[in-house]
Amino acid sequence: MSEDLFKAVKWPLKLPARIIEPGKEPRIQGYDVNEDLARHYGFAEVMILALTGELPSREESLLFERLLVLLSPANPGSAPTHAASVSRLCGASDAAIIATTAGLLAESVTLAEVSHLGWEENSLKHALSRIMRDSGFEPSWNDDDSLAELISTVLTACGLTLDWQRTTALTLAALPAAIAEASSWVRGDFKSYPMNLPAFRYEENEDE
Amino acid sequence: MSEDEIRTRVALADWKEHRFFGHAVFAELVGNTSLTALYSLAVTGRMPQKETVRVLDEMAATLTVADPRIWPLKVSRIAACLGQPILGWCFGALSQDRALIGADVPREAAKWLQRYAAARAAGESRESLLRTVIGDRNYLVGFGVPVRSIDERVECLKKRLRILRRDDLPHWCSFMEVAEAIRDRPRMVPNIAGACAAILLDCGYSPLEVGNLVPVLPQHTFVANAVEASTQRSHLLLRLPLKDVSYEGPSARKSPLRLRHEKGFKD
Repeated sequence: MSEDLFKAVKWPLKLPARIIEPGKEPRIQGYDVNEDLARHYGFAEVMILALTGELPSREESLLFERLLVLLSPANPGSAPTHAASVSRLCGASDAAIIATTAGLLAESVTLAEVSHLGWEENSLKHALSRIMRDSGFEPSWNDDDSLAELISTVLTACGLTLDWQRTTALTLAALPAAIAEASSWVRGDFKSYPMNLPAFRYEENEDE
Repeated sequence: MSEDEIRTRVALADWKEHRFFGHAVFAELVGNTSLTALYSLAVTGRMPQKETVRVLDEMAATLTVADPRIWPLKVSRIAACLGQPILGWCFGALSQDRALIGADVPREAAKWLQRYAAARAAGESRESLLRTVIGDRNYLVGFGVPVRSIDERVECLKKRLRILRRDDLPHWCSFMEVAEAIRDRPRMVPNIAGACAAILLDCGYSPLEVGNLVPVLPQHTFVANAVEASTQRSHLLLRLPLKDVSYEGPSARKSPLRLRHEKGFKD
């Protein structure tokens, strides 16, 4: 009779939950979702609460809300949206489309290239400066700073300093529009897709 | 069994040996089992016969159509261009979830083919069965090939089945019989999903098992594209140039709040 490897070790008996308290009156980071958060705060503020453990100041929440809006247009030709669009063409489920978009957006933003965005770079830099000032912050960057560095500065001003917090925020910002773009494709309409974009050229290994 | 427990036949990890569907991994499976046999065992819980494994190997080789432009492989390619091959093969596989090219197709083909073959064996006429299965429609799962006029993989499998002496088995014969009967209908060419369904039914798999096994067999095509794409990290897949994107959505417009703001009303 086999000896169960996993029964030989003493494991915790319960799954610990540290952020979300589920039940009749669920809480996030200790705050009652129904009686407190839903009555007095918007979704962007609850996002910061979930990610950092603390509610943002008014200035931080204004800035964050505006940042999310600015970063919402994903580029239709960028990897996350493009991959999800082709998946839709194949007839993949909504869950598959959403997972593909979210997963690849998260990967895109961790590359610190923000290649997923549908902005011309200088236009976005100007827009980021404007939302900082409008929200009561002074933009503290140089003209030759990269777009990724500017976004990083704004996220820091919003209280998001850890990589996973920033990845979550940037992913969620672009997610709805990217999913909508992918879902605009008609299932099975293969003839509407530019098959040779980009072009591939097959080459054989001459040593084989 | 307690209601707080989940019963599994899949596996148990032990200190020196592991079990997989009742087989000792190191003592029995290692040195005696191929990859396709393991896939079959994983899907069905039964060790396949050697002849079945040969059929599975030939099907997997036949399914080696890995052109990166083929849509699910394109998904793999785009996903992996970000640098991680595992994203390529995961999202490529995911693009087949409940899709036009995925597990549903061979499973549904196997379902009607199983009923058809059983009814033919019981003496029902071809004409009567065809009316039930397809009627006047120009669509039947297991038939229809995009872009080209025949499915070259089905032609390959026809030859291989003759060599393996498996071209006279009931489900394959039924599939070929239906193909012959409807060949004058537009776009009703037998496709690889239907062919795989027929062949696997003749190997003793159920329709559900057919649906679970067929998507696993061409995984090497996703792996190949994912590995190459993750190495190349092509900027063309990372982001298509703007000149290659043509906007066709709503025309430029202004929101009510913007119009109010421009007219001088305070928000």
